[in-house]
Amino acid sequence: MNYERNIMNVLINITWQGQSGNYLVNMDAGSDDNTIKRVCEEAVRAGEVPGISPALPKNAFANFVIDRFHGEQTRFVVRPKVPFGS
Amino acid sequence: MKILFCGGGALGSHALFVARDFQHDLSVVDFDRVETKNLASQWFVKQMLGKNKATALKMQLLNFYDVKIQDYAVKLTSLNVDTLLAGVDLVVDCFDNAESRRLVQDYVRTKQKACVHAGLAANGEFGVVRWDQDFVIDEETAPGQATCEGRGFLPIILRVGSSLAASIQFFLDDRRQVNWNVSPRNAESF
Repeated sequence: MNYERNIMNVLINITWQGQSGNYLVNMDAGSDDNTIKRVCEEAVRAGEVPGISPALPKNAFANFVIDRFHGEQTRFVVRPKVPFGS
Repeated sequence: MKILFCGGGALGSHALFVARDFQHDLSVVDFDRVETKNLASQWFVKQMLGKNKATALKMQLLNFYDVKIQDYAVKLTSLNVDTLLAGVDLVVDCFDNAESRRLVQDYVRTKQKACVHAGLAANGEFGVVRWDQDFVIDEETAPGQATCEGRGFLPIILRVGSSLAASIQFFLDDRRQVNWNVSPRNAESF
């Protein structure tokens, strides 16, 4: 099989229980949600995301949403759902 | 420019409060009425209890600041969406449910209108401001889950509301479309 990978520098903004931090990583820009969530979970647990406590439960981001922005800097936002407003 | 705020609750009322001196044609649509519980998290004074939210916002802006806006005291539906949004140049979506957000998104995409959305997570742990091409509509995880209706959420609500107003201002200045991630500790634009 021929896998085409697009490895690049990705800025991931992670939010967890009101804490927020940025994590810069080389990864496939086409990664699926589960892969991105797994990378984030490991990074937070390893203390590599300033601003977020490493004490993260398993599957912490299971119900989270990933926004992808492919501008000058590829950016993923790992966030809780935001259904409220009015 | 005609700007319509869809939803005049927590985010809509505060964003309108901040945007009140924009020298543009402001309007708001909301069918709901002001309840006592809304006083904790929405920009309403107790004299407005029982009044329609769109009308209450119109009265407050007129009485406190001599600012005139148009109020639409109706529910936005597929039957009136064209009537309400056709003449609008910028739609500001502050609704609190996926169904209404979808109605707005479908319309602005079909008609290619400028639209910016704002949303809050349960328990006020996060908020976003997104221009339409970057906005994903989130469903409630479970009916009746925690909301931002109680006390203690004003700091994050105001932060998202003012970020939304800033995005509107940037757009009015030079058509820049700025998104925001807002957490209780910081706000980042990109």
